[in-house]
Amino acid sequence: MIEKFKNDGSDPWSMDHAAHLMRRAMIGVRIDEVEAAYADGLYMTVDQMLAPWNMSFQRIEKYRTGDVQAWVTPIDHPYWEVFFKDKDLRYTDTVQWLCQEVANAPASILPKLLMGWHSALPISLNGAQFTEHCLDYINILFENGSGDALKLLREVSTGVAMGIFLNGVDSFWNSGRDGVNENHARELLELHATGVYDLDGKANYTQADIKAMAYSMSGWKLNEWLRPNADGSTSLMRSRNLIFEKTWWDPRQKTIFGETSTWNRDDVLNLVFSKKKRNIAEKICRRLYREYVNDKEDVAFIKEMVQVLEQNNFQMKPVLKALFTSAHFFDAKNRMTMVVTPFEYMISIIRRYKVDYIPDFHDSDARAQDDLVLRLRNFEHCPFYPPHVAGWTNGMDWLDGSRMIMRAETGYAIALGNLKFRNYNGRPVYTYNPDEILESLGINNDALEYARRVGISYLGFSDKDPRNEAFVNECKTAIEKSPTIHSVRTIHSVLQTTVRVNLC
Amino acid sequence: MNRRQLIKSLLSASVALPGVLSTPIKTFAAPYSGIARIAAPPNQGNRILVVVRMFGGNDGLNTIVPYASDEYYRVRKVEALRDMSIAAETVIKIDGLKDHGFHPSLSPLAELYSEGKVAVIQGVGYPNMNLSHFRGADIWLSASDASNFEHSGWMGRMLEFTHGGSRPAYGADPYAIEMGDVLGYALAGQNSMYGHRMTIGQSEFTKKIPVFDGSDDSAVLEYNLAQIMREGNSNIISIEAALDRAKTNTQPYDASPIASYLKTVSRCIRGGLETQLYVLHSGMFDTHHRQQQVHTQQLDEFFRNIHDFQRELEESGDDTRVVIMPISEFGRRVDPTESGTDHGTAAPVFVIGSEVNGGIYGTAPSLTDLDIDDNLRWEIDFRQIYNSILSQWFLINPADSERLLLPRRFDELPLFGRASSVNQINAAGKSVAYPMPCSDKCRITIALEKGEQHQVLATNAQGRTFAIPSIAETEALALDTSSLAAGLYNLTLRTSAGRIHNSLCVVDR
Repeated sequence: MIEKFKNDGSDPWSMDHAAHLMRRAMIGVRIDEVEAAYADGLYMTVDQMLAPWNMSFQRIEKYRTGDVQAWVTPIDHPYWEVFFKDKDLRYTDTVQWLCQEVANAPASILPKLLMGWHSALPISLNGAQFTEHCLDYINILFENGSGDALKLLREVSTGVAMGIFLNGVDSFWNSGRDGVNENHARELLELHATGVYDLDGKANYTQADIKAMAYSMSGWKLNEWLRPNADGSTSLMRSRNLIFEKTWWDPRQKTIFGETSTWNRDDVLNLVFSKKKRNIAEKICRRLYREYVNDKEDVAFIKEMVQVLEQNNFQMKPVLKALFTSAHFFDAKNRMTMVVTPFEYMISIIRRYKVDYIPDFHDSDARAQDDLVLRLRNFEHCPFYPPHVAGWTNGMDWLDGSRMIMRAETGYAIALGNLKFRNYNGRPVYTYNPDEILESLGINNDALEYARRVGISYLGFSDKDPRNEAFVNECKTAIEKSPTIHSVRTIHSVLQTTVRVNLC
Repeated sequence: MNRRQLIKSLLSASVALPGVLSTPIKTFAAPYSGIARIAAPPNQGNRILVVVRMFGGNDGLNTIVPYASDEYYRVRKVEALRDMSIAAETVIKIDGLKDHGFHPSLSPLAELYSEGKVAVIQGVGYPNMNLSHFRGADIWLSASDASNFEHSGWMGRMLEFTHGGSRPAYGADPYAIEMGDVLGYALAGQNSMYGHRMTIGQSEFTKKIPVFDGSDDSAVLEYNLAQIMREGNSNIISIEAALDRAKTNTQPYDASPIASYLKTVSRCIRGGLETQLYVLHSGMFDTHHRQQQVHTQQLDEFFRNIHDFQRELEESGDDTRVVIMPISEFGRRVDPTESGTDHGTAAPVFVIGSEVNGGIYGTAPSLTDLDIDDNLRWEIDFRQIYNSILSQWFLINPADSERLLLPRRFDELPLFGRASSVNQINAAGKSVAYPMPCSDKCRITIALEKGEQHQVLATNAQGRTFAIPSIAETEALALDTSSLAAGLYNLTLRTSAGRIHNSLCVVDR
């Protein structure tokens, strides 16, 4: 049984608790949202944060349906260049759309959860080839991210994006000709579903299992055909699903987890989901724990989470709810002890300051302006460009000296509203309205009160902590030194150069 | 090896005194021509390795072209419009090798080769080659087996080992620098990251960085992060100072990303930065489409700039302590696709530098005897090259490499020296340094030819190398170690016939 957070005398529900909850559960919480959470109390807040997130697909609507144009021949045809250029623009469009949706999201756990699944079950635009497949994949994460974990795993595993990314579509067995690729079978277990070892350190499967799974999963391929175009070129078209080619499948007897039959891919998924239920539950709960509570696993607590997940038939919402309302989650050792990812760092700034001009989002020719995307790529944390089949790193691995300084430099420049982006020389961008921030909090002329609240909500200081006083004093000194700069901008410039703003 | 084992072995390495450490360099069976010579002793100072990652998978067949092979043209020249071959008459011929030559855009590399500064290692790969860019790159950078997920790099582990796990002091130069878009695990040790990720144009962050003292867990983390940030700033200051000491580039280079990296690295080296490892990531070698144009352009871009880099170091005299190794995650399929080639397996690797034992190593993969996936079969494991560099360039005892840095033992290639009778004496255990530990003097048992030229070098844990005065006696060399500070050293004896390694422990006087 997960011990619930008790709103009692020793540690009553406070702004500190509300701020901790919101900082951890979402990307870039704002002070007004922390204050609302404090007023609403823990349970109401958690329920609200688990509510559906109405993502807007408008910007990428045109890629959401229809067949995929996967190639054009001949390559010296003028249309080939058009196609290739458009392909790259679509990639950028897709990344910018996702960034924009996350930055515009309401106070919800879903954006961070979505990014977490994207890292846990990664695909890449380059590796998965084509926006359409990546959008279908994101849709799976979006619809199942807090729902049925097994459905999530099944749909991602059988999707085109993962099929291409992990070479599932290049895996065939044709009358004894062996073209079977183990990549997908291995990652399905190792990275996606079970992990190599269970919580007690016991191996979850053998190399022989992987091999047999790979042979069983053979036979799936892309559904492609040629379409002649009016201009004399030919397009290679592709449907948005994989098809099964029986002559590419290995029909022999195969032994997986000790059971022998003529297994196929769906049998494999059924076997994993039935035989390895406990391992899957552990893997998911460990992942959620490391995403939301602490990089260092607390095995006893994770085992309790596993129970909740199993009791609820792998529905993840009850586990998330139990996690966010647990006493353990609010334990002092779990507060401000996680590292903010570069993506979270950038989106937090945009969301918190309500940045009203970002070239990627707001230029009429935004397709050509990818300043934010380039920054994220410099930080090595751009959605759809994972470094690795195992997704992005986490925790302290994000922070080396150079990138810490990149963060501080970027945050400092945006805070003061003077980040210049590459193509429009000298034009200040990533800017925002500092007065509006004070107005929204009802503290029109009190910059130091704003600093105090920034310390509580963003730096995790309790009101009585002398460190918050020290932060307010830092801000005060900085404001006095720069009388011509709006004091809210100065406060943000101090905030973004603290070491602590990298923690949550 | 897991982390715990590594820590354990690091601990034991620092307390146990190694006995005779041998570097048996195997006589390499395959013929290699070119200028086989003993490298001149390095200048005082750090030896440097610059790894250039050619991202995407370089087509080895069209890099070192088997122009005498009918099979090559049969497979690669499908039809006039689908010709993925390099015409024999355009290939730059290699001395001493009748049937292979450089891609026509590799004339800068061929020029260095003709001066004996390029080792061409043919058919490089590893068991169960992985054809994913990501996984392939991870395997190359981690030096792990294909089946093992290792989240540290061979160069990171080397630094962790040679520095005893310590990080650079503030104000000291970074141990390693990494540049480029797609960074990897190359410079991650088992326990910490040793690479400074350098962004061109990044300058010291001069704004005040507030850190709030406290006693909770978050304060500990905050303190550590502040340290990392200071370290980053310290690195940037060191780098800027070096760049300031070597303000300009003297060679033409071009405007490509790899040129900007190499120009910066050259200035760092010429500016006296003591960084030992540079890892540069760049390239578009993933030539699924338009291979002929893209590959020609990429080879030209990479090797012209590498040539300029080498020439610039030769001008400044730093060339004797720098080695350049371009690597790629895999080669490409023999059978072409519509306008390019798919991911494949074996490909040549180059090791470039004035101290390199230039020539051809290994034999080119057969075009008729392919593996089950119709890919080239590899002959030399890439970790043989790594082990050769660790041992012969960084003077790391192969026993330590085998135990700590690489998955197991990999036979060396004579990339920097020639197999010799001296090595065999050493392999037989006849060379002993005594007394051990020593203070001002010690001897190594070795029989030198009368009047044979020799030099003794001692390299400390930080990779710094010192020349040791020595006098030849009967069956021994007397060494004057009085100028060495107390500590563990790797000792290298170079003679006209070859080299041997030994270890040296100097105690406080």
